[in-house]
Amino acid sequence: MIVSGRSEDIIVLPEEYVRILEIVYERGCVPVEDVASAIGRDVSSLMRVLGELEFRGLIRTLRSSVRFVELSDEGLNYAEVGLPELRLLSYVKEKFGSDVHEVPLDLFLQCCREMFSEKMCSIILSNLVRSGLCRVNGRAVKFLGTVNEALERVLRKQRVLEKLKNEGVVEVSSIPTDVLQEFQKRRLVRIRERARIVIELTDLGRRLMSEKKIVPAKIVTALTPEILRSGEWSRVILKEFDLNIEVPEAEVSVPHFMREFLEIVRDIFVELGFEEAHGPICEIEFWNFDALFQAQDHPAREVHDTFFIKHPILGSPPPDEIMEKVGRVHEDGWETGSRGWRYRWSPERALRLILRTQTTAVTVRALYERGEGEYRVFTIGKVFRPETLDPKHAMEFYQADGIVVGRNVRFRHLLSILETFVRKLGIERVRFKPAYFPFTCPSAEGYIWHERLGWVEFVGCGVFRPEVTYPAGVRESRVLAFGMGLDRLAMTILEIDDIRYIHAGDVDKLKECYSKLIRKMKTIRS
Amino acid sequence: MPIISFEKWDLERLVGTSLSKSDIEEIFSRLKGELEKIEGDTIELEVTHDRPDMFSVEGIARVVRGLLEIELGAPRIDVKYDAYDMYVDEVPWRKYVITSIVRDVTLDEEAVRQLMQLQEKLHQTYGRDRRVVAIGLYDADKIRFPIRYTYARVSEVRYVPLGYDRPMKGEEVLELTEKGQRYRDVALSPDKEYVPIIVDSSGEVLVIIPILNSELHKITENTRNIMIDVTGTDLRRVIDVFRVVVYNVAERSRSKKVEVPRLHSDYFPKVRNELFSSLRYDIDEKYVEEISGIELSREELVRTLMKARHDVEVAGDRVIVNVPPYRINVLHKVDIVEDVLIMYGYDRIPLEYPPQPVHGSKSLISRLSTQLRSLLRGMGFIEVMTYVMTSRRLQEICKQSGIIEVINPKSELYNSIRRCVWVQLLNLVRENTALAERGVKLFDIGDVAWYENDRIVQDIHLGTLITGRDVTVTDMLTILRTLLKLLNMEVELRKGTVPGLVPERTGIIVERKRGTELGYIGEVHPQVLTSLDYYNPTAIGEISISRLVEAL
Repeated sequence: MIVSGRSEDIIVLPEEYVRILEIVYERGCVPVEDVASAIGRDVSSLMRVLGELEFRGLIRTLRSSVRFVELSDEGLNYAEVGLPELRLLSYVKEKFGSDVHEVPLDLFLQCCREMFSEKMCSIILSNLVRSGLCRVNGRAVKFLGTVNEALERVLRKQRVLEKLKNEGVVEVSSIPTDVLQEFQKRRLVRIRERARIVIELTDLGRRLMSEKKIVPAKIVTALTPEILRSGEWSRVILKEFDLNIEVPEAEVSVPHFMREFLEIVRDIFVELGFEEAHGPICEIEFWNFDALFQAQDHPAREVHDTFFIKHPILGSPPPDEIMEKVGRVHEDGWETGSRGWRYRWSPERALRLILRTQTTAVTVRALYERGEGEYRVFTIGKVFRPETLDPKHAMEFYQADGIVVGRNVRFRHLLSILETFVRKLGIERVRFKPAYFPFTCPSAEGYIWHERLGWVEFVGCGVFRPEVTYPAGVRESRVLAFGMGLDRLAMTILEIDDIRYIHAGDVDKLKECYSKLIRKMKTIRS
Repeated sequence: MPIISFEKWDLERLVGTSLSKSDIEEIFSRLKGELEKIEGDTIELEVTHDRPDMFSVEGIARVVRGLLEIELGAPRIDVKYDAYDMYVDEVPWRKYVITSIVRDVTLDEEAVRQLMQLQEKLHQTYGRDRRVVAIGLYDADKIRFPIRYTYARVSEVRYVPLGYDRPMKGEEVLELTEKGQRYRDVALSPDKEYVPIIVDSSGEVLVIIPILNSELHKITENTRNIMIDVTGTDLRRVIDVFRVVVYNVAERSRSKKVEVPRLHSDYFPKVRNELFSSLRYDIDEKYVEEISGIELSREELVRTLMKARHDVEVAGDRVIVNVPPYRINVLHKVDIVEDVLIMYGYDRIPLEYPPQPVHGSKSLISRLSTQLRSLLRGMGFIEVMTYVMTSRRLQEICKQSGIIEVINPKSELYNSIRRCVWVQLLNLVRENTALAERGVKLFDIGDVAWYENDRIVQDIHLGTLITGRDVTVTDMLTILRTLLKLLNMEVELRKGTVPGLVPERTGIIVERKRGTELGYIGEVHPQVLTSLDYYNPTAIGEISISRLVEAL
């Protein structure tokens, strides 16, 4: 912190240290307060410097104790509004003229009552009498001299009060004894003891000062290669660093909190044995709905719930064989043992291009590609729904979908996998309840417990119906499936209340959301 | 999904036991659907689309009685066939009608409200706003049988419609009543001359289908016998809805007597015997276990099936389930398994993590994206996520073509799919002037799509943008060269034109070994910038992640 050095018998000290020594050298014995005010510091911050000088044997501090006077709360109040007797006498003077020597008692009391309570009146009067400013003579109050002269005497006391107020603490000796005694009696002041510190130079100090052997050091704010190389560093003082200084924020490129969240989700799926798949956002209805056994007149397939592409209108068809099977399933159940939806299925309709509304379109494509077997596939991607953008809704959001395929997997395993998933996200309480989706049976919705929001739905899931798996060539294995909206999950876990922050360009907001993600690092056990 | 409102006391009356608020919460947490609110005596339940039988309190109570084991097995009705005559004329634009009378009902104001709600919710969902199916309910005692389903000239129809106190002509009903205005196009024949009606033998018009019943035949608290009509364009759906309505109305009947007419039509004889027939499924514990992972004893299986309101026949080793006719959502045996699980209780399903025979993996696209993200952040780029949807206008200003638009946007700001990421980055700096004035580097990775020769092309792109005073394409070149070098990619830049960029300052990035185009860099054309009211020089880069992955 302080670098100081000696060159022969010259002592290099910080400039301020030298100034203190000069003051003491000039004045001889100096109270510490005077030193402080001379160099513009407060006493407490000076003590460290004085300690250092004393340690070096240049000064000596002498401690004694002194009695000080300070105002009580009541005294402080009177210092501000005036002593009651002052206010009373000023009033009397105003009312009866400054030269009156006496005032009838009843009139005097009347003046008094106009300003003070009855109790106060008698205290004031007895104070006046006790201090000899007036006496009560029969039915008159007789002043010591004129009312003005009495007032002058009171003003003297008032000035003492004001001095005490302005100076805070005053040595006992600087106040007239009579006034002090009275004030003490009236509890307007308190007397305190205080340590008093006086500084003087030691013989060594005085000698060095007189020989001008103590010189102020050069202060540098930054070391340079030159200072380091020349050895000058040993003769300079590095400016003390202010720890409380306001510094600008560093430029930083924080990772986007949502991508980090998606990455966490990805990591969890990988841990749980899922392989990642991708699929197109512009999708034919076939993969988004028909292959998922969603009837062609299902309300979700109308313009309120699905974005339709203007041009081109139709996408490239899946193989005829697949189209045929799916069509049959819808119409009469085909070989699945189902009744089907019992309507005329339109291949044309199935080829309409839409923006995918669920990433289940991606997992069902994977199912068709891979067929029977033991595997797990997940996908994370954007889905689209005709919603107006507001804090809770958006026309596009991230969804994760997954399938678990195998001969020995069951509905209860599905619930367990999802429970494991959210536990890894730091969520302790999960529950499932029955639900309906056209492509799963049994179906469930999963809820997570949130301190502020209560039970929040996070996933829809179920066992793919035979109507979905048979056309994909999957008859022996069961397919567990789930889908979840990730924007909402991220918002719930990270405590973010506006979905639009995800796509914001406001750098401060992005940093804020990133910090929220970091705050959850302990609980997210990925 | 429909929200059904009903009164707690009515539910208690139908269930036959009193229910506390927490009982109700507990009950509905075990069933499909969601309890929206309990306020005083009023309960609102969001039910799922597959259970139209729960579109009124009668059906809800029937489920609850099973769940609480107050009543097990399928509910019974006492059907009398050929009970009355109904003549059916061919109405080509609304061909099918089925009617029935439910006898000995006890109604009050709330019961009437429930019937109306059932009708309305079925209209909205299965009825496709009355187009495919419509339902009518009448006081059967006011009808002179036999009745006839027919059509009449609009001008020749005359009756007092529901809610009015004077006879109105067909035109008036279509034009003056709210329902008439709303459903006239569904009612009218293609030539706009005729509407379907039901008339009785005294010539009274019961209804213009699917608009308004007559005031004369309306259901009140005093109605004892209810006639139901279901009409529509799809016979299967007419029968489905008919079953639901008959069974729910019959919940209010003491005798459960249901009368089916001798319906004189070509289609009726074929369906007459299946109106109230049950689906039958063989089911066993093994099948339930193979789907659910729950092992039940024979007794448990039979009991849960009956709680789910199915009839069960146990014949030797076989368990045969008879599904009540109103359960129109049952398409397959798996639906029965779900019923079993719901009655068993999802909360009771033991969670067991299955053996994990497979290893997970992230796609190469994801892994490469992670690397690109960290490299670009290291080079001082801010990571943003822009919307895939954007405005067509913005893309056009940026000279993009082959833009994929949606026919039903919610906002002109989001009516198309971005063809490239940089357009969205440019839009973002334009909207965040604070960023723009400081000078900034941005990137985003995400979906893009467009069409070429009427085929859709889709990809994932990395978009980068540098903007600020004195920015040139060289700044971007420095970045991308460094980036691609780190990815071991030998690239060269070729001259080329890219819409929206200054031709003299555009380069196509080509991978040397295979000669694939990875993307491009360039300076955004001043015409584009100024059209967007943006006055900072801007350099962009756009790279196809899928091609990058191929070239790795």
